Order: sequence, then structure tokens, then C-alpha cells
Amino acid sequence: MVEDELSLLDLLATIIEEQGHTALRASNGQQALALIEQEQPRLVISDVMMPVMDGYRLLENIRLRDEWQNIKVVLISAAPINKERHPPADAYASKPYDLEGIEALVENLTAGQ
Amino acid sequence: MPLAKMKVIPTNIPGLDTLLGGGIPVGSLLIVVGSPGTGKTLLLQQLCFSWTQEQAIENTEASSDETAKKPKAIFFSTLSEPHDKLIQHVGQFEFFDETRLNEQVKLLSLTKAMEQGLGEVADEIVRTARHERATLVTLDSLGGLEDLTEGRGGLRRFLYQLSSQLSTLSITTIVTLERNIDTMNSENELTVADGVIHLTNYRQGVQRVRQAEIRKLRGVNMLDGLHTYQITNAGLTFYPRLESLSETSLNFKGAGKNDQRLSLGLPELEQMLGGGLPTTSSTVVAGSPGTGKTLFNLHYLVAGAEKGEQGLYVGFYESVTQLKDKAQRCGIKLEDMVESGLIDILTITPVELEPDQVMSQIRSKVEAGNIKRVVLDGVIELEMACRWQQRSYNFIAALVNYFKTKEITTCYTYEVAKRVSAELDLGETPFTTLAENLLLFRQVEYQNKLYRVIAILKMRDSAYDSSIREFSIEDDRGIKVLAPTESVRGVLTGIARKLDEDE
Repeated sequence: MVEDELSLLDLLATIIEEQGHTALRASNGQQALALIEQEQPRLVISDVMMPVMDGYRLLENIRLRDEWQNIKVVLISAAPINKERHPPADAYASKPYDLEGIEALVENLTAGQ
Repeated sequence: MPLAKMKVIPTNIPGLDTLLGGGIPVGSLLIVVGSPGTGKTLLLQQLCFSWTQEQAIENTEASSDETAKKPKAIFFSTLSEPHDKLIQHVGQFEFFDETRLNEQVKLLSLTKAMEQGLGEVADEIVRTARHERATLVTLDSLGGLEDLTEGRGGLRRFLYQLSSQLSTLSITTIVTLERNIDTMNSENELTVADGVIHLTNYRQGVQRVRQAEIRKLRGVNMLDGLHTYQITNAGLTFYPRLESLSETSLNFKGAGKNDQRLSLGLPELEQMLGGGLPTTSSTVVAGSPGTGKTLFNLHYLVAGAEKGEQGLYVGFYESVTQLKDKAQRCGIKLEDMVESGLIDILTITPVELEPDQVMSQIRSKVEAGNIKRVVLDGVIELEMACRWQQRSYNFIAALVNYFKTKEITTCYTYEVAKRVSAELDLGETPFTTLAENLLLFRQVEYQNKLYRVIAILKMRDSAYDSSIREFSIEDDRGIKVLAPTESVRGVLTGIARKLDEDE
């Protein structure tokens, strides 16, 4: 879970944990990259607008590494996402969350892994 | 390019949505602030029921899975009040619906979580709201958590955490706060809120006045200023201040000689008026008591009804029965028109009048039908009810403007104190400037006898007969304006002579 707003990071992580997954937390793209290197997660759910490294840059960095091609990435934003200028994410979600939508998304993207 | 308009959910509390500019933006944090006894707790409980009611209807239409989509609201209490007592209290109000209690509206206590600190309270609220799939969370009251805070700004930080999590889940949050808003410092809890509803009550003479003000509400065009509200068995009802509803530009059709004229059922007077009253115009019918002003109004409404035009009579002195009897004596078919639904009568006791409440009643009738003619018999009662707030001029201006924008032709009767006099003093009232047409009904004395006379003192942008005419009130006919040859002259100076007396 990558989110600079700590209360939202906690919320998102709690939702994921309640679905039976382990949630790792990072508060910007750079922290997330270090964590991905270390933990090799199956799914990254990232906010777009963050300090240090935003969600788009994080996505670009993940797509550049061959060994990370199996990692699913979901971008979340309160503003419209520009899908043209960046490599495609596996899914997009908007803020505020549609709770059922987020839960379903996580289920789908982690199914069979 | 601006983002899509924020989704707003109506509260369905009478009048409140008008104040809020349509409703509450989804995911907002609102604080209801006010002193004890202002109805903050009741407002939250009412909101829980009204919120779940409307959305349930909305979603039932859109979805076949009714149960899953039914909206839920949670009322969290920080008071150590027994659950049964809480239900007992809220159960006395008409908005309470036992069938929705627990399934859609949950009343929960936070006292257990409070034992473990403020962080746990926030977690408990978010966790419960999430698991219940609630769309509205209310918390009564924030003050009850004050003992759990550490250092300055503790409640503000708590509110920030709570609202950021709940708003991300599209959950709207409303909390109460017992405070005097005017003495709060700038670093207060209200800075975190998206909206602030301020409730006040105070004594005015022997009356208790309740007023609400939307201090801020992000994302919508709320109504500024103070608005009256009342607490009854139905819960809270808000009455938007009429002036705040007024459009800023004068968009109504102007009166003029080319306009259509409305009949009065009084051919002689219609002739004097150049054909009748111009449509959408406002007319003040001024006069001393007993001169026939009310009767004139009944003629006016019935003449319209005979042409299929709906009319509304609003009066402060005579009951419906009295009005019907008066009309019947004069052969005016008021009762028939009331029965056929063409004329509606609204009688209001002129005791402790609240002008916006009266207007709310009038507006609901006007907006429910296709009313073309309105009579406000005794409009001075409304004007007087505005005086203590020094809003007479603005209120009357908004009143006149309201009817004109609805394309309604309105007659206002205005009582003149002097029973037999040539003077007409409206100088201290807003009516002289706002009335387009001004008719004067009065009595003059001549050889120990009183005569009724009528004069048109003003008609905006229209030619009229400025002569003074005597009129009589006759059984089976009502008002009869006499021809000049039948009349007396010199009446405005109080020296009345028969026309042929000295000629």
C-alpha cells in the first residue's frame, strides 16, 4: 500500500488485511521501490499524488524491471488519471473508494497467485 | 476544466436542504455547533432516519437487490446513556421508524471504546461504519471525548483522522459540538470541517426564537445568514429566510398598458383601472376597517376562479366560515370555488407570527399548484412580525418579488388606522415604493352619515381614472361602484356635497 496520507494508508492496509492478505506500507514511491525489492509483493496499490516519487513514476519503475512483471499495480487517485502518458496499470480506482469495488479488485488481482 | 460536480445527498429534513443548497456533499464532515437545548442531538437522530428513507427509495428503483443496497446510518453516542432510554426518547418523534431501527439505523454507544483512548474511538467508528456499509455516520457529541485528548488540538486531530478515513470511503460524517461559536479561537475544531451548522436559541420578549446558520459548506451554494427553525413532534423544521431566496436580478414580466388585464368582477372599477389589474402586478388595497377591503379581495379571487384561474387567499383575521358567510351574503360564489379547488384559503392566527414560517406555508401552496392570483389580507401582520429584526423592507421586497417571479398577480390589504380621514399615511412602510398599484378605500362623513369611497392613487406605467368614486356594499351583489352622477364630491377634503347641490 503506497499512500502519503497516513490515516488513509492505515485504512487501506486494514481493508486488505481483513481480506486475509499481508499489507506492507510505504508513504511514497521511493519507499515502495525499496520495499518491493525486499519483499517481492504480488500486488501494489498506490496513490498517484505523493511527494518524493508519485504513483506514475513508481509504476514506470516497476515496469522497467523484468523480474517485477508479475506484480499487479493498481493506481488510485482523486483526480482524473492520464492513462496515455504512462505505462498501463492493471487497474485504476478513484477516491473516494468504492469499498466493495476495492475489495473485488484485490480479490480478482490476487486470485490464482 | 473543473471536475465533475460533487454528489450531494438531500437530508429530507424540511427546509434544511434549501439552506444547504441541495443537501450534503457525499463524504463531507459537518459539525453541528450550538449551546444546550438547541436540538443538536435530535437533528442527528432525525438525519439518520431521513437519510435512510430517501436513499432507500432511490436505490430500490435502481436495484433488484433491495436489502443489499439499503443505505445505513449510524448514531454514535459518547454519553453513558442507556440504550433503551435513547430509543425511548427518539421513539417519541414522528420521523422514528421502528422497522428501520437496527437494520438501517443503528444507535450505538462508544463508551467501551472510550476506555481505550481516542485512537480506539476513531478506529471503532471507522471499523463499524465499514462493516455495516454505512453511508452516514453521526457522532454525539465531540465534547464527550474532550477528556480523552492529550494537549491542544487533540479533538482537531481526531476529527481529521476520522473524516479523512470516512470521506475516502464516501461516508458522510456529522458530529455535534457544544460550544459558543462566537467565542471560539481560530485554532478550533471547526477548521477541519467541510461544513458548519450553527444552531442558536434565545429569548425575544416572552418568545423563544430558534435560528440556524450555515457558517460554511464546501462544494455547494448554501444560503447565507440566519434562518428560523422549530422543534415539534416532527423533529426540526427549517424555514429559509425569504430574502435569501430572492433572485438578484428582476426577471419578472413588467406591468404596462400592453399587458393582459385581470378582471375583478367589478366592471365599474375595472374601467377606472383601464381594464383591470395588470398581470403579475402588485396592488395595495389600503383602507380603514370596515370599508370593504376583504370583500374586494373575494370579488377578485372569484372573478379569476370563474375563468379557471386558481387563487389563494391568505388572511389573519377572519375564519374560513366567516369568509364564506360574508361572500354568501354578497352573492359571491366563494364556497363553490373553494369546493371546486379553484380557491384555496389559508387562515393564520396573528399571534407570535414567524414570517418565514408563514411564507413556507404560502410557498408550499403556490409551488404545489398553478396559482395565478394571491390575496394577502392584512399583510401588515407580516410586516410587523419583521420589525424586531429590522427586516421589514427587505422582507416585503422579497415577498413582492417572489410572487412576481411566479407570475402571480397579488393584492395586499393594508389597514389604515384613521377611520374617517382624508389622510393616507404609508410613509413609514415599504408598501408605497413596492406597490405598483395603490387603491384607497375609506369612509367620509356627510350630513351625519358615513359614505364609502374608493380612489386609485397610483398605477405604474398605466393610465387610470383618478376620480374619487362612492361605492356601496349590497346584499346579493357585493361592492357596487357608483357612477359619478350618483356620487358625492369633495370627499377627500371631508366636505361632501351632492353633485347637483350647488350647480
